[in-house]
This record gives sequence, structure tokens and C-alpha cells, in this order.
Amino acid sequence: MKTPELKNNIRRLRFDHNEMTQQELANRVGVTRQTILAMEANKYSPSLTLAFRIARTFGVKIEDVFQYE
Amino acid sequence: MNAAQKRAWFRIIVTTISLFVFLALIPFTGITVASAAFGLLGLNGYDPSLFRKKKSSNEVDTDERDILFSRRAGVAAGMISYLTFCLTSFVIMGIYWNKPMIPKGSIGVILLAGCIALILAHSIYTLIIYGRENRHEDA
Repeated sequence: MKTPELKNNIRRLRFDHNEMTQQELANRVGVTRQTILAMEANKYSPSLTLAFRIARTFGVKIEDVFQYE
Repeated sequence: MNAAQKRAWFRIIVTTISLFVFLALIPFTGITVASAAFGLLGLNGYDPSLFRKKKSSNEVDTDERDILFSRRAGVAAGMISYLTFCLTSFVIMGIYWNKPMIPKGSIGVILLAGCIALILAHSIYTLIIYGRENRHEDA
């Protein structure tokens, strides 16, 4: 059985928000740039707290950022 | 390279240097005095403060992903350290099997072997995890 993955729209949301850089987003949510990069590549699933912080930074709901597929 | 990787490299370098100094001193001073070289391992205690970001910077040094990786490395290092601890104990027991007692320095050797295995395994495993996870980073 294939394990479901946590997909996200972080990259698209960054570009929709004045082409925000990975470093800018990382600074706003309090993580390193490598973590943003790993999330965009679907290599890392963030904690619920971090997921909420990212959604709040973009001003959207958490399900608009992350999808469990 | 992030702060956790720099710290891992620092610990590997310090531990390797202390091992080399120990081995280099043995012909001149004997094992007992040469073992003072392991005092250099105390430098490992400075690693958190050496690679800290400037206070003025908004960037963070460590986040939840780094903590997760550190925990994973800690589990692996704990297993390897315990294995080294047991192996060293049995080797020393085997060496002094026919003697009525073992030298008191053996306890130090057992503890030191476990400690060095812990430091090296944690640092090497940390580098392996980051190497594996960050393969896509340059893309």
C-alpha cells in the first residue's frame, strides 16, 4: 500500500506573495532556509505548529497550504 | 552547511586530534600520561557557542527539523556507544581473565571508549542524515 504524502503549495504561495524568498519565509516562521526547502520538495512534514505559522504568514487556511494525499 | 553540520565537523575534528595526540605521546610519555590528551575532548563543550548566528540576524540556528535529526542521530549513537562499552568491557575481562583483579585504569578506558564512540557516532550520523536529506538542496 502506498503511504499517503503531505503535499504543499508553499512555493506557489511564496510567488503569489511578492515572490517572497525562502529565507524571508524562514525568518518569518522561525525556521532555517533548509527546512523550507525540504518542505517544498516534500521531504519533510512540518509540525502542526509550524504548519499553522506558515498558513498564518500567507493569510490562508492551513488546508490551502497543505494537502494529505 | 548549517550550524548542526558545522558542530558535527567540529566534534569529529576535536576527537580525532585528541586521539592522534594520545597516540603520538605514547612513545614519549607512556599510556598513563598520554591519556591526558583526552582532556582536549572538553573543547567539544564549546561547540554550541561557536557556530551561533549573530543576535542582530533574524535567522535561526536550529529548528524542529534539526532537533528531529539530532534525536535520530542520538538513538544511533546511543546504540553504538552501548555496544562499544560492552565490547570494551568484555575485551578487558578477557585480557585479565587469569588475573585476580583488573587495573583501576581499565574503568577509565571503558568509559572513554564509550564516550568517544558516542561523540563520533552522533557526529557522523548527523552528517549522514543531512547529506541524505539535503541531496536535493542544490537543485
